[in-house]
Amino acid sequence: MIRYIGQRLLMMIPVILGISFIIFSIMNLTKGDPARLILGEGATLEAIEAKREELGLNDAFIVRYAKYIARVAIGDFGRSYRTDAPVSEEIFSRFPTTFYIAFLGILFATLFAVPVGVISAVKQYSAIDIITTVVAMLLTSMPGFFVGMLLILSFALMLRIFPATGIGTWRHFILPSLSVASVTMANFIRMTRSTMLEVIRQDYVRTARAKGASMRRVIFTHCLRNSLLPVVTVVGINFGVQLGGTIMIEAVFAIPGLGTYMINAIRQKDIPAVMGSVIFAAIVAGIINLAVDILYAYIDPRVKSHYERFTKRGRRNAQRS
Amino acid sequence: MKHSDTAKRVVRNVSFLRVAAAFVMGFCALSCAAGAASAASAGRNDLIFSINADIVAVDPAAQRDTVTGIVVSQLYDTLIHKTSSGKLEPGLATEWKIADDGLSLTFTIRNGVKFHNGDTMTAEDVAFSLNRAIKSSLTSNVSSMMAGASEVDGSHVRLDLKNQFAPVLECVAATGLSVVSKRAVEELGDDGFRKAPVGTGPYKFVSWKGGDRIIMTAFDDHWRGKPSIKDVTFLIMTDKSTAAIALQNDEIDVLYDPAFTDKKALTGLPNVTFSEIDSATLIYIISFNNKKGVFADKRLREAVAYAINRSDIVEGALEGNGSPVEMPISPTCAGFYDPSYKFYPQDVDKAKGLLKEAGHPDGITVPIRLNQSSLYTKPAEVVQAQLRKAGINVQFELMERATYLSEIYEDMNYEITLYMFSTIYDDPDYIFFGRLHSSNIGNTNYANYSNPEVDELIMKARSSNDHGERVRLYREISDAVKEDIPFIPLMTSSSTIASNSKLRGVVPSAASLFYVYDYSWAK
Repeated sequence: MIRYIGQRLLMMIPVILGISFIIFSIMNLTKGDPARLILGEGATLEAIEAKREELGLNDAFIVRYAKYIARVAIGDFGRSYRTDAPVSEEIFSRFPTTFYIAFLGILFATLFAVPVGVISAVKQYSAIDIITTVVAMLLTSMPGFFVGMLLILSFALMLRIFPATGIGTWRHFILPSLSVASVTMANFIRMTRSTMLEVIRQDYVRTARAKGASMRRVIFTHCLRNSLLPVVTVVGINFGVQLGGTIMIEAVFAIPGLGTYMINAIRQKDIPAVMGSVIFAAIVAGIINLAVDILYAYIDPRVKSHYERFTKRGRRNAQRS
Repeated sequence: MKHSDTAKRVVRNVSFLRVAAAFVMGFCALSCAAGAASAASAGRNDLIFSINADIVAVDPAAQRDTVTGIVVSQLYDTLIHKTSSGKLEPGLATEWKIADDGLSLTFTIRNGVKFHNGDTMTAEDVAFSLNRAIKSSLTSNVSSMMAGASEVDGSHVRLDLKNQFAPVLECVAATGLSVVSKRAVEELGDDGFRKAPVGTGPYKFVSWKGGDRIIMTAFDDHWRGKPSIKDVTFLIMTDKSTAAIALQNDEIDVLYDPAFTDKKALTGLPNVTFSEIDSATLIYIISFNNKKGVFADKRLREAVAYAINRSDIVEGALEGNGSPVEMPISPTCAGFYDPSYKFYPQDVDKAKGLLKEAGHPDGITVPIRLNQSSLYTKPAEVVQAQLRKAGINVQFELMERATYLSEIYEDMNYEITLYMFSTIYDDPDYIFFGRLHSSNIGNTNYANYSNPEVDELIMKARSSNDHGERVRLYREISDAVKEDIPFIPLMTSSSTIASNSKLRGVVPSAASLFYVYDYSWAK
């Protein structure tokens, strides 16, 4: 297992190199002079030229990329063009906020969606199934920032239960997390329901019922566990996406997370900041995917046996057979 | 066998739950510890001021945008203080004298001014700060005419200029040229100074959490006396309607630059005061490429000038929150802007006639290149409708800011564009030198306009210290602009501010200068 994890982590290196090269090319080959953007309206031509020289923008593209990657390799993500502060510092100061909102949002969504999905699969075409389908459709069609606005209007402005903006106490995290949850929830409900429906029709489920196992036991131990794999995948992917920063939701709730950092950096053509946050997001997504894969092993013994090929004993067993 | 399996699973489930619970509890503890900013109304001595973007630095030598300027100006002082209403007053200099040749200024330094670290400000600190800003490429827009500063004696500092420059006092008053502690910069280095800045301003820096807030506290030894409000938080709220709701909910006390669309909602509230004033800094113009494409023909530029109606653009694009500008000078430049000056009156028939004369009896279709922000597209939509009536069809080509600046400013790869820019110092020279002088082609003179006579007039006006002569010269240049039409001045938008109505001293500022030192809570 550890060997497998090690291999997966090593495999992330070419992925990150690829991503970084693509983003670096896009940022550098599109029009726009970062020096002019940094200095703003009214800067003299001499000042702009001096800034270009200082930032090394007069070097050839490939030289700049090589220099950048060499620095990243030793953990130096460079300095933001805009604030001149180290990019890694800025990313780490914002990441916890994004993490809490993403984590809480996904947690809310999962805690709600899985039971609802199970119920609507078990009671297919019942009133509860139709209602959840309609609600899921509604939520899918509403963008997160719009839900966020609605939440602000109702809970912050009218009921005054939660603050509208900013971060600080746990109460500040509730509305943004609910917005994140609403975006992802519909997907989870649908996923749980459809895989549940598939599993419910399997022979072994009928066998279990025929053996006399109670309905509850059949659903929770036989069906749910078998239908969890695709759900875990979807949850994992969504968690990774949300960790990259929920740009719109962060903007609506005035939250200083990774999303707002990245979008500002793109607008300002702040190349080190964009590169740093993209690479960081890629690493986080890679780690989450890995975590999901490992989780499979705990949910499904068949997957676990697959990993054992990576251990010495596993390989010996495979050779013997 | 089966038994132990179930047992194992139970154990696993329990441990998973425990981990999850620990996680949630840890999260709550962390977030609770972070503490909240709540706004009770009575007997307050704190203030929450919302700004719509993160700042770039708490170091004046790196300041180059309005929002950063607002924050930095609480922490530092300049030699000449520019009030919210734009008046120049003695700041850290009690008086100043311009040399007869106009090539240097001598400042008398105020005695007994304390830095936040307890040091007393000296002439050395002042000269050091000015040189630091002059050297920084980030503040070139206010310091490019300065050669360097030197200490004359213990209480005098001389600032040398590269050339005579009439609006130099406006530049000395710019936040970028604030005084910093020489000792602090030398001991901490630029990086360290940016984390623990030391100035003489009414507020001391406490912390800056990127993208979130900047916290400062009153400096009791400030030379003008202790500030009335003790703790000040600048809260970054990028969404203007969210910020408006926060003000309505008493979560914030001052809202910088509220959206015009929120004006109606905010003015009706008992707990909010909304105020606005014509901005000195935001000028909208329509520019032509004067050397390439269809608008190289002056008759077509003239046709555009006849086709537009400024009041309708102000109404349609700014919802009335602005004023038409008929002279290529900011209306706040007292004495220079003549309100009775008229550029071209709207006359659609004349515009059509000019098109015909230029050989386009059926009208023309031409792309208008724009920055994609609604700041520019909204007025451009009104202009588009007005031009269509005269037979000029402009088609939008939108691009993001980086591309726009590169295509328009550097490459002048366009026919017609509409842009809004902020004038960095409040003097006619800013627009005339930047937009018309041939040395700025490839930079701010993207109209690609070069006229040796106008160049000479601009240089003469910026180096003269005779106000009457300058007024006359700028009038002459304005007439030349009217004659050649390199660009068309359109309008200026309002500078707005909304605040808690119990807060005293909040005034709208044409130059976007807001000093918390001037504010106090009603008893």
